[in-house]
Amino acid sequence: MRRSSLVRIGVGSASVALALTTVVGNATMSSATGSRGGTLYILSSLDNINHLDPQRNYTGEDIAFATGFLTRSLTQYAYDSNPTKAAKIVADGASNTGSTADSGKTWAFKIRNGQKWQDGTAVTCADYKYGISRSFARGIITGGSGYSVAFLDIPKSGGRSIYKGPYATVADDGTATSQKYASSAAKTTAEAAFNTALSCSKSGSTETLTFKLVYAVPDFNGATTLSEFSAVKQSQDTGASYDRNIFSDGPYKIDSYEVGTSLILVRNPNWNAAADATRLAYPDRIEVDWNIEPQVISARLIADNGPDKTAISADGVYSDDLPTVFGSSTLTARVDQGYDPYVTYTALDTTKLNLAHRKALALAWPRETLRQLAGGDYAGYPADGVIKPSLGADYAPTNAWGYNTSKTVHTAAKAAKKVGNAYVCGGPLPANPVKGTMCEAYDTVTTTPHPGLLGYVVPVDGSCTQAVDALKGAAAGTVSYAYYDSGSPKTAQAVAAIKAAVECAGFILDLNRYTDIGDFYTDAFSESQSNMMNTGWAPDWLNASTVIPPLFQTDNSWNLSHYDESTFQAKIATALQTVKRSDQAKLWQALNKEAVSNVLVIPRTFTNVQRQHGSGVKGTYIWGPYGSYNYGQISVN
Amino acid sequence: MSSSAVLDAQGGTDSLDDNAEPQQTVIVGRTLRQIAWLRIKRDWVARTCMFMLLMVFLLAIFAGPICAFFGVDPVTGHMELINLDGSSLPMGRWGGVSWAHPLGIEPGYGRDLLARLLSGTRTSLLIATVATVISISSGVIIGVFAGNLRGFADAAMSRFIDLMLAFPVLLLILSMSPVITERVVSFYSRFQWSLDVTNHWANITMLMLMLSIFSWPYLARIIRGQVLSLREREFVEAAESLGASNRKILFKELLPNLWGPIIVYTTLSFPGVIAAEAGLAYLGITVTEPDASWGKLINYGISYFAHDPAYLLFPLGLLVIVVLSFNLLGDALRDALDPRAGRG
Repeated sequence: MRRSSLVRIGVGSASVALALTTVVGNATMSSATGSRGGTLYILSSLDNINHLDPQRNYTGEDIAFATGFLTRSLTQYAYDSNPTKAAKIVADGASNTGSTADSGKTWAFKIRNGQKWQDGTAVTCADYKYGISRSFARGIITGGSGYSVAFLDIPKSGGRSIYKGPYATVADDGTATSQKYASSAAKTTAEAAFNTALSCSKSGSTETLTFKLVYAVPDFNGATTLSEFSAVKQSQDTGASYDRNIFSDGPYKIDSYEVGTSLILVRNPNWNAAADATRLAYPDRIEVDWNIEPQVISARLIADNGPDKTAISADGVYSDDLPTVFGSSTLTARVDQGYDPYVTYTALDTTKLNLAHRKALALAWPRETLRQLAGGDYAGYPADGVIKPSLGADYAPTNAWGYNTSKTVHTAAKAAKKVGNAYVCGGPLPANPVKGTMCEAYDTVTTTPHPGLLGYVVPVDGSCTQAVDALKGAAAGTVSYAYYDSGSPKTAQAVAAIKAAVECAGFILDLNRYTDIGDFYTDAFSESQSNMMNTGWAPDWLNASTVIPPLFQTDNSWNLSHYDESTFQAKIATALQTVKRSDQAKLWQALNKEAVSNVLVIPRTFTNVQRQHGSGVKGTYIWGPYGSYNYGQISVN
Repeated sequence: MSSSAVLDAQGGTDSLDDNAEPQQTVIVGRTLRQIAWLRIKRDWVARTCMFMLLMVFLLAIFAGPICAFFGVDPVTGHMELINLDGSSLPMGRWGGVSWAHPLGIEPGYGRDLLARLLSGTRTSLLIATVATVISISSGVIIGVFAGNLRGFADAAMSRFIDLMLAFPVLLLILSMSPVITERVVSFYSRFQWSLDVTNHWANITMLMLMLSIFSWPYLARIIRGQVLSLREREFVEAAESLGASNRKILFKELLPNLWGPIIVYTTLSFPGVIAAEAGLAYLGITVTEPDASWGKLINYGISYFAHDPAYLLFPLGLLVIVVLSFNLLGDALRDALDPRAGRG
């Protein structure tokens, strides 16, 4: 998922699980929480949705929105308020969650019958195949998650797939470009390779879409939850401008779309509810209003007047209003809270910082101050690794920071011993609590430290002395730290806190402050990458195979630690190929622990999110997989 | 008329001339400077302003000892005095005012506001002073040049000044500040200071340079106008006809007549530079952490204003006092230095 390089500020709170009727895959939905009718308003401070085009949509929130109303992927997550239950993969555009006969190298999905486009024509296997082919059109269909390109078994040339997507033509002068084949023979070969890797077959009335992957991907049906595996009708495809006029196979279609102002969806009259197991489509109309100031959104939802009664916020609760909102029980009742998919951490470049230095930095790091500056419990909970509890079985506590246990031994009152004219109690300290002729009762507390992965019991806010100790007399040196500064005073204060903590241990901090997010990414991918980078990550689908490899596998997409140690890399490769899910989960847990004990990252926060809604909105909860609203199930009536 | 002797407008006897006998009128010649000083001394507004400004400058100079006296420093965070309910606001009223923290603490990280304000005063006054000196000097030099040259050269200089006035200075600053900072850092690296010190001074130097770009064209035009009118006067013609060199005319005849407007303009442009610094802080061009400056404190204070107004009001109050004092002093000086002003 889009990597987050921001320190999330002022969002989230203690998870309050709202009990709801669980949605089970069943064609006839009858939820106790809502009924048809009304307009759902979505208030956003952004200018626009980044991408609605399913092959270009990569932001979790946008995927949740699009998949709730407009597009359908082969598989989906369950709509459930319980994050562990929501991690279950259910069939959506397909009628099964995929089957593989060869441990993940070939996958077959039966296409669900009865799905209709907004003009009434049927959604076919060919539509899914066409949609997936669009991801290969480099230069035109940009920004997507790119897994179909990575996984489908199509030959590569020069690091790129030879198949160039459905728009590519043959070059006049034999010069291949991203959208031109060198010759018609090349075009024929490439298209044949694509058709072999991805094929539709029909048996009776059931169509099956078969994927041939370049290597075994045991959790491929998790990848198919991504929006890029959605159908697109070829005759309605407008290439790069498809973003603005999606042809829908969901319960709604676009009525009007004004960037910067609003996006209005109305009912798709040809939507077949019987062919949709997840979406309830209660509101008659959905209106997304853009460019509203976050303070204004918060104020409107708190006031809850008129049409705002059926409004929800696309932003988190405004940080200044958090105490107000959570200080009033009526307002708290209209807030939904839960984990979002992100973990924030600081990546350490292992090629520039040796283990002793990395340990010292991790020990000195003022984690609790940073968490409080980000909003305390509203921002999230202290992280102990890069895998978040919302990943279900892949998460196990790593004991990164250690803990203390204390044992209390109670000594009861007893008669004192008379020695000469005095009474003595004897025994361990506190010494001799004599009262009259009795020894008083007292408690002895013994604290046992259980050192964590770093070898110490680390205080919540870091410890300068432990850091100095970990350095073992070595010189600390200069360390560069890159971060994105949105201009908020809290960012500056966080940096001041880090500076104070790290300099206490003897380091000199060289700050690389980026006010432009593009510059931050440039730093990350350059030769002169900063030693420490403040960033975050969310899994692309709910398997740690989308966390550990991108962060730690050599040359993978967001590997900032560059830890190329061969046994570690081999373990990652093994885990990727493990078919049995429970075994794979254990391997991910072990790798998470190893990443922390080798201090490839300093974990910071498991971030939370909370959203407000008006009093007329029913059935909302924070949907675990994306940390978004359960858009497909909201009712305003 | 030469600037060297002007009769007191009152014609001699002066209320400050304590020992004068009422029946003996003595004509005492006073320089413009003396007259101006007398006028200032009588103007209670000007006296108050000068006193305020002197106090602020002393606060800046003695920031260290004052902080040590109160036992505060601008770097240490006091999270134990912050409400940990997600609001990050200081405990207590008025932003955490207490005996230990006379002006309270900042929300979020909890650093003492008095210490940060004093350190910020020192930084802001240093930047504003140097920026003002740079802009005044360049304005005067260019203005005098333009005024002295004739014909095409004069026209060219004037168009250059107009060009600088028309230039979108803010955009220039926004785009050039990182580049300038880097250049200055590499310049300062030859002094082999530590990383912190180098970055700190490079940043401050960049701000001084950026802020001086704002105001020199205005002064250049004023000075050019003054020079143009002055050089047509009889005393300059007289000096020329006596064979005085250009240089002598410049220093002996022109500049002494110019320092009036220069002083007035300095006192009026100083607050402009301070306000510009605050504006740049809002745009993200400000001193690096953990330093403070007025612009930075006010910028952050605005974010917290709804829940902790004290955090904005203390620095803002000080800024208002300084800007107001400079403005009123500038007005008083302008009146005092005007030889055609009425009675004192």
